[in-house]
Amino acid sequence: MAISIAELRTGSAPFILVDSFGLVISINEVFEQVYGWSEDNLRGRPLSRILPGAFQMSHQLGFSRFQTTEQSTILGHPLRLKTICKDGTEINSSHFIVAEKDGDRWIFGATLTPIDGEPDLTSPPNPG
Amino acid sequence: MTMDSPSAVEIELIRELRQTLSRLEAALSQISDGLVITNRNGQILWCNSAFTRLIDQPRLAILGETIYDLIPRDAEGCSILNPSAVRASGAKGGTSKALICRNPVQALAIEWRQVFQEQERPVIFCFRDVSMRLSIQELKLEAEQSERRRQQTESLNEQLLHEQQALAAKVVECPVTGLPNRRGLALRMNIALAELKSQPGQLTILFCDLNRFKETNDLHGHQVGDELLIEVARRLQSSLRRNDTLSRLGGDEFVIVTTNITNQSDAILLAERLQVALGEPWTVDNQTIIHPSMSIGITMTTDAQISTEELLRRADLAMYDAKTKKNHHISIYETSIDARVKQEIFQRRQLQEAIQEQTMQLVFQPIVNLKDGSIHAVEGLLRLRRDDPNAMPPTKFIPIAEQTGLILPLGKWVITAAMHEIRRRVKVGQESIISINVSPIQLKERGFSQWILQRADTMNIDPAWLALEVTETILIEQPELTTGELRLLRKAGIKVYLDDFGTGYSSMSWLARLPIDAIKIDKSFTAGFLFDARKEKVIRSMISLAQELGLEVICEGIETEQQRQGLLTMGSTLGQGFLFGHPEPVQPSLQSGTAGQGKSMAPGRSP
Repeated sequence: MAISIAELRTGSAPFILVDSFGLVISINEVFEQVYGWSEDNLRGRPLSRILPGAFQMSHQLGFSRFQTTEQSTILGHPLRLKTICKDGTEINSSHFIVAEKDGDRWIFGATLTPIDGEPDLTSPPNPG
Repeated sequence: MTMDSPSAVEIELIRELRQTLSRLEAALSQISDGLVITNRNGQILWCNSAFTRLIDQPRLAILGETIYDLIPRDAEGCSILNPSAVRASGAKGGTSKALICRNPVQALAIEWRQVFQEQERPVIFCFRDVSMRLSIQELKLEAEQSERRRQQTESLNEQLLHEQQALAAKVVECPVTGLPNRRGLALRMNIALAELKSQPGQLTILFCDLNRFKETNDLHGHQVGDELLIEVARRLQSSLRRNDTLSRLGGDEFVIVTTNITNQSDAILLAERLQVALGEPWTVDNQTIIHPSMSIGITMTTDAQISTEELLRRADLAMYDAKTKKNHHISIYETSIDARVKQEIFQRRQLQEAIQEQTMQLVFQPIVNLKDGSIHAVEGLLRLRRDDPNAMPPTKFIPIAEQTGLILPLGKWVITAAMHEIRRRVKVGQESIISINVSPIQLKERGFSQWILQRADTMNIDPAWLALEVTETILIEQPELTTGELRLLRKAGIKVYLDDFGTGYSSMSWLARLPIDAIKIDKSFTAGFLFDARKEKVIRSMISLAQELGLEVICEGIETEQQRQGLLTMGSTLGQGFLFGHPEPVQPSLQSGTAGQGKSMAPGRSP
């Protein structure tokens, strides 16, 4: 059975909630501790703020594709990506993203667990 | 600080933009050209599906990586994009073409352009697969265009020359067979070795060399030779698996690269299968039937670090070793072959040098009348280097000379040297028959007898002073060819001695048919007959039979007085051996008038 946003939110990992436009709705305290961002820093801002520059274009395109087709290859399984901290440093982290309908709009919840080492080059293709 | 929620208009606009982006990306993912957008430093910001297929990596793994590190290498192992050239090309952008290490080899046309309108100056790259368009004709055409441009302006000469050279370097196909050439082979081997790095396995190289291909070229011309090469390629290819690679290295050499074999016995089985496929008769001009054959050297490795040059060297050495085998022309490389082949190469060089520098000499050993020690004839024996006790002995250099074909010039030198000696002896009144050994290969050479007789005529010597020693094997294996030549020579007065008699076939029954004047009983009988009753009976029978057929008998290897007496008693009249004299540069008996133990010498038998 698929993991729900509620389950992710109640876990111990850094958590972020994003709306259908790709704007951050909320983060949990663990997220703040690990990545240095406060909820005020991110709420209402594009999610791309915490993504490295090289990932932003693909993120926007993937997000757009999902909005249009509701098809995705990145949901429901771990992805190794980089996350930008408040101080500008990059942390390798395992992203686990799920999407749910909230009325007629999608919302996205994700845990971003820091990991050691380089990104896994065998990650599945096509973000979004 | 928080952001206000988007207004209804903004939401609508965002939706429209997202839909547009989604459709555009879907469209870009459909095209076959690889598209990439990088920042000005070459870090990948986006790419389409065709590009991920080109570099065989998932998109997530390459975002942020530098494009120059990811794209495949060209045929020379160099990057197909030069960062400096891309940066320097400015808003106009640039193009290039490259062949990349793939199987089959892939040709790419690359275009790039900086987006100057944007402050960050991203770069858009397009990789187009133009493999289907790559042909030798196309390369030729390009070369011709280059030539025309060169004629148009002298100032561009140097640059265009480089272009032509680069084009030639990219030809990876043999124009005769259509197979990969040496360059194509190296590409395939590099790929196989790279695969070996990522996944352990076994790489096997089979180095095939056609036997006697030169004969086909010489006899039927190069057109037929080329047709044979095409047929060989077809036959070999039909015996291989789809992912095996067959290439033509040049001349009559074909090389197979396979990763489908895990042990030596399977490699030998494949080699045997190839030999069978190749060996089917092939008809030239609906008349001549050729039976192609080849020698195969095999090398196998699990070592991904080994170089292609080393692998080819090993397979080549094994092939060289296979050539020396009498029946089964297949050999697997092992380290001992290195030393053996190096030794053979050294010896072959020594032989070539001796021929080129004319450092050979004939030494002479008397053949005497056993009754009184008088000289009947002398045998001229070839030595490689004058006054060098370490020079290769005949037992070594003769087989090498026969394998390499050097026996033909060597044999002619011996005949000429023997004729010089005959002329010298006649001049000083010490005439004697001089016998020399003739290789089966010389006998098989077209016009052999004619050449000897012309030579004798040119040197103004009587051919009757010359005797040729031949072995029975060649006479029995190819009687029509060889006996015809020998009959011509005998008609002119040249003697024919059957050498090493008793060591080969059941010779007795053949004796009556062969065009010979004497038999030389092998020293192995002479050495043992005093203590071996069977050998004594055999010798006695040989002597008796030969005498009944009117042939002379010469016993070789006589070293003791007892042997001389025993052979004399059995009816033999002629002999040769250390008892009468070692092979010497100048026949001593001719100067002293005696042979061996100071016996008096009658004049040599007049021809």
